[in-house]
Amino acid sequence: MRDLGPRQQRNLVLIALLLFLGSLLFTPQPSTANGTSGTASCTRTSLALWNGSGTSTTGSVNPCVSGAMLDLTFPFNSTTQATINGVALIGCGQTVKDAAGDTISPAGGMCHVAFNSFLVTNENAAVLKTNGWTGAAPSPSYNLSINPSGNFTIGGNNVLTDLWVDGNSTLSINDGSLCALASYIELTSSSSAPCTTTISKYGQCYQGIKTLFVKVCAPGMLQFLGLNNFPIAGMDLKIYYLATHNGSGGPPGGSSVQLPNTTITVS
Amino acid sequence: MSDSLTIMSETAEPSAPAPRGGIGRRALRRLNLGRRWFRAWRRTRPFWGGVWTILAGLEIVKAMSFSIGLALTGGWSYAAGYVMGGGLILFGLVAWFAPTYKGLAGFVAFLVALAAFPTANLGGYLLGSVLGIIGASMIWSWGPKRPSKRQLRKMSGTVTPGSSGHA
Repeated sequence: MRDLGPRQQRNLVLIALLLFLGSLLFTPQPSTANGTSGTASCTRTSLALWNGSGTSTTGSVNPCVSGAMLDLTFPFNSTTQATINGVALIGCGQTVKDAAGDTISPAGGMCHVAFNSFLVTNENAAVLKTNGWTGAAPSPSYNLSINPSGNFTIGGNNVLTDLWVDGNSTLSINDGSLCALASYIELTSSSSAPCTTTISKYGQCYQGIKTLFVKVCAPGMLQFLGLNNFPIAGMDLKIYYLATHNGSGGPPGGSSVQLPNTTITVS
Repeated sequence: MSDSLTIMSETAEPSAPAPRGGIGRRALRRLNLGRRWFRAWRRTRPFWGGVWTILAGLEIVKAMSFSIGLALTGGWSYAAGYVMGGGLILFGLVAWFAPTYKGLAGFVAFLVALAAFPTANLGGYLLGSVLGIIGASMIWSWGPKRPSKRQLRKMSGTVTPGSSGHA
């Protein structure tokens, strides 16, 4: 084998440099939630964020929503499994488009709920599950389960968590006075704790109830009832998109999603 | 030539019998030629520097352990191992096949090995960056071997007899 001549060596070096610089410059960048550009195939959807009081929103994110549903479940339990300092239902019948440009249409409609300082305190029953499939139907028959070994946080103190969920998602509240109030305004069938309510009920039943719900969920009402937070005994949230922020659309302080040793299984 | 080779091996190394038949002899001769060619090839370029640099690149790629698909779609944090490790492999090969540009190849490989530390999993858990820096330095500093004093004396005696005082 002959050695390369001077011209061939020079060409080789030039090609190597161009290849390397090209790979540095043209590495595809992932889409960011707040970006206005990304991969050409992504359709961005504009989602307004809760500002922490009433149903007012502030700022927005423009994510590429995958369309995959993340199911966060705590099976109904008599003990408190999560706490939330404030809950708001911004509205149901929301239009959220996936990256392909198709409107996502969950069975119970698309609802926008928001939590203030969401903290999961009982890890035993918490399961995060997703169908993990963003391609064309039919989706493959496997599930991805994420099982944290301890308390985990999705939001944390003074962090607002906005969720776009299926209206059939449910919350079970573990407090007698809150349950009595909720049953009085027909949000739950049971007046004793723990009681379960469906997210879409607030959006679809009566507009007046929606306003009342927001008042119920305001921190002031919690103080009136002598509570520090909403004690959640169970939930089944079918989440299509989740965003955490500091109340004005900016990034939250610290780590807003914290997981301990977590077992990830595919079944 | 072939007879003398056979005689030598039979007399000098009786415990290692020479291969019988033409195929064995031919293979041996080819092996010998290949070894000589490789030695000559190795000695005319920064071979060992290239070896360390290529190994560093492979180690960095392996340490990242992301699939190519994820690297192509996940952005810089997933692709950095492939870009940095691939760069080191590339410039290790450049040092081998374009030894005229060994200075440039060594310098760029050195920068890539340094940059791999903050970008690619601590440069493949430090090992890749260290190997890369050593390899790149060897490429950059490679050059013709300086003759020994004995060779110098011999050369000066042969070329300019009586002028050893100037060496």
